[in-house]
Amino acid sequence: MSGEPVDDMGNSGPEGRRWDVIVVGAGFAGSLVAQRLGEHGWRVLVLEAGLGAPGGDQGHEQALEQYRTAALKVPNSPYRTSTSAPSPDVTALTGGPDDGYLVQRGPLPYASGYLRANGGTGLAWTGLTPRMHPEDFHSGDFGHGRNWPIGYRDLEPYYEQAEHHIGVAADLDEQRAAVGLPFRDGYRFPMRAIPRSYLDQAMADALDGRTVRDPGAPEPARLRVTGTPHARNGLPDPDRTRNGLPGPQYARSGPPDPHGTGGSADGPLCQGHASCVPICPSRAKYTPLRTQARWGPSVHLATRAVATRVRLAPDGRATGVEYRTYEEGVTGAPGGVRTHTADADLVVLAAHAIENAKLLLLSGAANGSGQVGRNLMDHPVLLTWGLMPRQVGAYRGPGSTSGLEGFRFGAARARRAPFRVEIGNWGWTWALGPPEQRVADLLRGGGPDGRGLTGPELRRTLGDRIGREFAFQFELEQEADPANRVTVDPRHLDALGTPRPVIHYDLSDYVKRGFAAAKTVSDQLFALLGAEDHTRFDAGPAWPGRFEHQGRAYGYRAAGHGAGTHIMGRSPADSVVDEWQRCWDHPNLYAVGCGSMPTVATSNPSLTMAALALRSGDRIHRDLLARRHIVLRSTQSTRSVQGTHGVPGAATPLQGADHP
Amino acid sequence: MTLDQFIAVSAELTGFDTDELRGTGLAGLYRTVLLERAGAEQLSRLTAPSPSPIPGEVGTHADEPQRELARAVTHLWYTGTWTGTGQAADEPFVVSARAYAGGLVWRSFGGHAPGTTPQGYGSWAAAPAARPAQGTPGARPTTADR
Repeated sequence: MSGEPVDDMGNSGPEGRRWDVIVVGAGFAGSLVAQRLGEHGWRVLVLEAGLGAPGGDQGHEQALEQYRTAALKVPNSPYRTSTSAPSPDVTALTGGPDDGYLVQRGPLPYASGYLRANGGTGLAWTGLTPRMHPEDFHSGDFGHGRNWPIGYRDLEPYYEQAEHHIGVAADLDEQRAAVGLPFRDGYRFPMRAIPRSYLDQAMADALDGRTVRDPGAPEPARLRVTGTPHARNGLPDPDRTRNGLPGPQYARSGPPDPHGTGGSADGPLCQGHASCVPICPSRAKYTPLRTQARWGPSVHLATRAVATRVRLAPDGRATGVEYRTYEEGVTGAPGGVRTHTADADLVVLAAHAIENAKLLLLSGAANGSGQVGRNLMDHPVLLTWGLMPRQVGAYRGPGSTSGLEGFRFGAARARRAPFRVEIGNWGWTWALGPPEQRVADLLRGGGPDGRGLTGPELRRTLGDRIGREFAFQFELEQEADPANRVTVDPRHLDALGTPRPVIHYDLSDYVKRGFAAAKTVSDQLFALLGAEDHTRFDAGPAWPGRFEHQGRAYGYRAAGHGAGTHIMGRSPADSVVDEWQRCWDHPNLYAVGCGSMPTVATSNPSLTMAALALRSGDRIHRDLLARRHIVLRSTQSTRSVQGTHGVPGAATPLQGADHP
Repeated sequence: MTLDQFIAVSAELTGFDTDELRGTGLAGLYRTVLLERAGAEQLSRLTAPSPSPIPGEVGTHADEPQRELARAVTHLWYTGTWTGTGQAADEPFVVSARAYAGGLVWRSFGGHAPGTTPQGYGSWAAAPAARPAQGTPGARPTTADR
């Protein structure tokens, strides 16, 4: 077969039709926008650069097998990727000419990867869903970074919708009391909180009510181990059911069976496989594939379709997208490459923040402010790790089930970057690699004279230590800085001939002061826990993200939370998109996703991205309706097209008019 | 080297007894990996190090290649990954999904390889399971090695 894009139904050929909307990217944001527009019957073409699957049971089993047999179990390891739509891996950070997909110009490495495949990085995410705090929307008031053009209250209804769409398990009272989040009276999360880990409990026993000194804050901080909201299946909220409120989405085919692995269309209860990153074997964790399963019949997916340019009319309106398709299963040079165009009334860029910026730059679009690609942010993560005094059952359950929230807010924000502290249930994996690495280290260098351990002593040492491993993950807010940026350079091309992203990235003194404060807090936490601190940031390949600050060495990993590259603001003079994620320069071009965030705050950003996407979906629906009132257009020729994702003509755009 | 001999040497190297190693169902597979990767001659020279005066310390091996091979075999049992003996262009590889799941490192502390074994909802809140005691008959083989 030719390089024609093929959807999951085996249908081909979106070319030559006119679409209401083209969505670029079938990840978190794109799948949600398409779902919302499909609800209204708009004809949506979703272009996904990466390969299809792992949909269905067979694809899921293949991904699991690939993960279990991967020598390096990095976030992208279960998923098939193509050289025609390369994905950056977290292992490629030095910026050498053959080192990965991103061209790293430094001075420090941008240390996050992402996944270009149907479902996107949302296949491999951890599944933690804290909301942003009201203060996070105006952190610019503290003198660092920017303010949002909207506030918590504007986004709150969409947080609720997002939490119900993706299925969030959380303790509302705890979120209100310990994080300070406002909630609407009567609001309920769809599911009860995911249980805290045994490690969390051991931490709470030692830490709750104690105080630590924070060098940035005038007063000592009081500690309280706090549960984290999750987008993974827990037990339904019994009060919701009693009050006659609709249950969580998965309840459509019955509530999950708490004792079994079978259950519902949307997956069973979390089974504690301890591999949320990169893949949840039980499918209890939300991924965008769940949203795609709810797409209406007017939404059409094309995979292996790499958008290369947004087509713009002289009046600034977007008219469609140019894209290339390629043959599947190509390991070397791409095969069967063809160039296509598709036309639409409205275009939504919903790729990763770096890919969205790349595409805007390649299109010469939306850059009246000069801010496209700038303000690249992420969560640099300070890891500290050690051994608890007794066995805590490391390597069980979700990657993190609780955290310390007291360093995210308040006046200290003016002096140092704020941070959220995750308690890591998976031992030293993120810091030093999985337990297999400890085996290798002990075999080679264990024992009093460093000649290695073997036999019963090896077994005894591993048995004593690995179950006591834990880590703190300090996720620091990085402020918007125009110098941290994505550019494109025609000298650096990928296999399809598309320019690769070139990254300039650094950490400011504000962030580095946050690291120093976090390490000071960590030292006190270890003392309170009576834990052995094993944190060291040795120079060398283990810590490409390593820097010195005031005479002390720090290392960082990155959380995979790329943001800011098409930053949202109040004015076209200094921002790329408006509060609806609509490009100031093009009234029918949207750029959605974490790239729009003016601050990345300290919360894992996917829930906020989801809320923003649903809010934009509503706005796009209104835009399309308004345009329909102005432009009289026949839809007869397109309504009867055969071979779309569902039943031809089953949902026409006119149905949308019933839902203003 | 027969399978029984291989298991006997492996028990000395890993600190898991022969019944525990047979119970993994992986001994035959690992012997095959060794034959393929290191060869019969190398395998015939696989021995546990002669005892060191310091308990737990690696004792003396006749030569470095022999020591490397002993490390590689121990690593294989503990992780399901063949790392090679540092000689050929031997890329590390996971022998199989079952080998990954059966890595002794997880059993050493009473855990399970991530992504292999459903533990049940909320299992992570309970106190960790007691570690299987070393060298006791408590851990009987459940799967006979063929």
